[in-house]
Amino acid sequence: MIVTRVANSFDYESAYVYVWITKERKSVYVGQTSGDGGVVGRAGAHVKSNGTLRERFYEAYGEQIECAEDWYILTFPLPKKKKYTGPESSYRNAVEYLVQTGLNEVRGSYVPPFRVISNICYSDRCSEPDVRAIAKSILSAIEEVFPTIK
Amino acid sequence: MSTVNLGWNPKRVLFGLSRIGYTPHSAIADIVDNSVTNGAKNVFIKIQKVREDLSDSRKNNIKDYLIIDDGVGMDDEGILAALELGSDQLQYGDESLSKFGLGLKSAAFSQGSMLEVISSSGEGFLKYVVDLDSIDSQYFCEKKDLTDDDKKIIDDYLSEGRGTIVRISKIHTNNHPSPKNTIDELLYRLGTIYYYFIRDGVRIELNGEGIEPYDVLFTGEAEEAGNLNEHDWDGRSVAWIKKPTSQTLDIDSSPAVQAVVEVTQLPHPPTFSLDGEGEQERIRKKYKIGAGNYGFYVYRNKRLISWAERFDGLIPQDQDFYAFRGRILLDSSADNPFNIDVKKSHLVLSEEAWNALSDLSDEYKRKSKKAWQHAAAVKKQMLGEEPNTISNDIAAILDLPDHMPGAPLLDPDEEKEQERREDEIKSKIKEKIRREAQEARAAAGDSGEPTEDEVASLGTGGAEGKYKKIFRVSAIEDNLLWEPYFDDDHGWSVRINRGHRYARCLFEDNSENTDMQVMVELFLLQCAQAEIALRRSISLDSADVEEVIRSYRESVSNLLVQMVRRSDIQLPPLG
Repeated sequence: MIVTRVANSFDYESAYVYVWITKERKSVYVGQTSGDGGVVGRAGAHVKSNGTLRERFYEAYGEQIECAEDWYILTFPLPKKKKYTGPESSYRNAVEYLVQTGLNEVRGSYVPPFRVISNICYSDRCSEPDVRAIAKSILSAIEEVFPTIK
Repeated sequence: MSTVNLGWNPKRVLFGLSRIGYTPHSAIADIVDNSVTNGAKNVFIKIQKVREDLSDSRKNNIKDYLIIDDGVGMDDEGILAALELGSDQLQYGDESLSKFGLGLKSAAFSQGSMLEVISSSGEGFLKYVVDLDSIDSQYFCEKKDLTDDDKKIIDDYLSEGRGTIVRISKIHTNNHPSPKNTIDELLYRLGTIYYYFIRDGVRIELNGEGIEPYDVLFTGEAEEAGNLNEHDWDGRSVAWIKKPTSQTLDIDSSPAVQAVVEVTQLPHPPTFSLDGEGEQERIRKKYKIGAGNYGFYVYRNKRLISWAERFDGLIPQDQDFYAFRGRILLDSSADNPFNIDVKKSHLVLSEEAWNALSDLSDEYKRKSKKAWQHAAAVKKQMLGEEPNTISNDIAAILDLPDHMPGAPLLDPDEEKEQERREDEIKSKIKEKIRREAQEARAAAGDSGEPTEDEVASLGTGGAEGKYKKIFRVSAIEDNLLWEPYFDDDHGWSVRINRGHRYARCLFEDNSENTDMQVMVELFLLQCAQAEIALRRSISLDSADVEEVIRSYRESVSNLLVQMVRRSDIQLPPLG
């Protein structure tokens, strides 16, 4: 039996930034979603045959994601403000972007070092202070939790 | 298993080595590498002509190239190792600029057939010569006595009895570049190639003229101007796009390849045409802004190895990137993963490094391009050609009428009630903008009250000029496309969220379409004024109207986002 706690990664009204991690394959994938299914819903889409995580991982390693047996997902709820939860994604993209670039700057110093395999797209919202503050807190949390992931 | 020794033909190999693409300036720069690596504090480059009476512009008139340095110098063993092909790489330290032990020979023979090395480590000068014309099946050098000319050079430049002279003579005469061509290139390029060394005290002199360090990023000016704000840059200053930051480019090699990456935005030359004739050209020349100079300048061990590198399209060929200057600082650990070549003038990124740099550059490129376009828009604005200026010129007389077309006339009491409602709306708008200014301060870690200027600037997006009514602002609450606005200076106006997906499609993707932008801006101004007219209308419930119209604006804004995001339709520009 496998027990996976997912109740804190979807609630029909929140938006999230999430991070998939496999230390075994030294890969990190950063994404964002405001979909009804939250991070769980996106996870399903990611592992489908044409899912973006599957495709990015295959591009990076030439193997399917199943070859890594230690995938973990870190979920970071975004503020429940319309600019984060609405259909316009520029604020979510901005947080996602800053988390990706932040990880890129430090990835060589992590153990193990890793690749950021998600596609990165800059958003003009990146310079807004609240966006930067959210990204900074996510990066701090990742820095704290990364060594504890086994 | 048995092995069979294979022969080699020195003459043909040396010929091949001399044809790997050196120009006189790149060959000389490669030899200067040896001087710098060997601790020279002074390097003297002399380009001597065959016929001194002929102009410097004359081709095929070089007698010899001399590179003289006061570095540690070499004894017999050292000189012979330097002349060997593929000298043992282990002699090179981590900080060395050398790589394969081929640079001196390939650089020298690319320009002439004779290479002379005269050197002393303090025990007296020794001279060895390789003459390609004598090389056939054997590779060898000859030990020779110093000539009077050699002794004079030593007296003039190396009076302390230590250092090295490299002379390249028997210069190829097949369309060999003129002295002027090489001198001009060297004056410009050596300052860039050895920027860090010259800055740190190494003196390089070319035909008696000292070479100044040339910082292609103009970081000193960037320090004064600070970080680039692409939304309000006027094109007149150098600004930081990315201050120096250590980045991991490749984790597959051991150790991982780290690089320091920094990027600046240089000025926008067309803006300076507003200052008078010749100013645009002056700026272009000062910052060397042009097709061959934008991109990344890659340094290995602080020596430039790649000039304005665009990494196979990573920085696109596009005039809007002319002000983009990046610098990547690598050390020797990048040599193998990045395939740095013999003449140290080119590198090929590993796939992972290319991807990492591509990810990093996404932001830099967008900022640079947006800033360039903004500067162009500011210039247009100064000339009265910018769409928002045209919209505002038209809007200047479009005040919200006291009486809407087709509405019944109001009696004095009703007029008073309408005025009261208007005042209430004005207060709400003012309070909302003040709250947003406070939130912006709080997000930046400042809990103080916003100043009146801050509030006004947030409301109008920093726009100057009291006559304006249409403001392109960076954000609107809940990411709506537009909202009505009022302040005493501007009257009833509209704020347009230029970061909204639809606005970006309109203002950026269709930046050349002035007419469309003007029409949409005027339409949104009228929408905003119509909203106020309804909210103040005494025949309607003010709170209900406010709620309905806000929801309406939200729905329109969201539907427009979805429309722009659809991949199955094509929006303008259609051409």
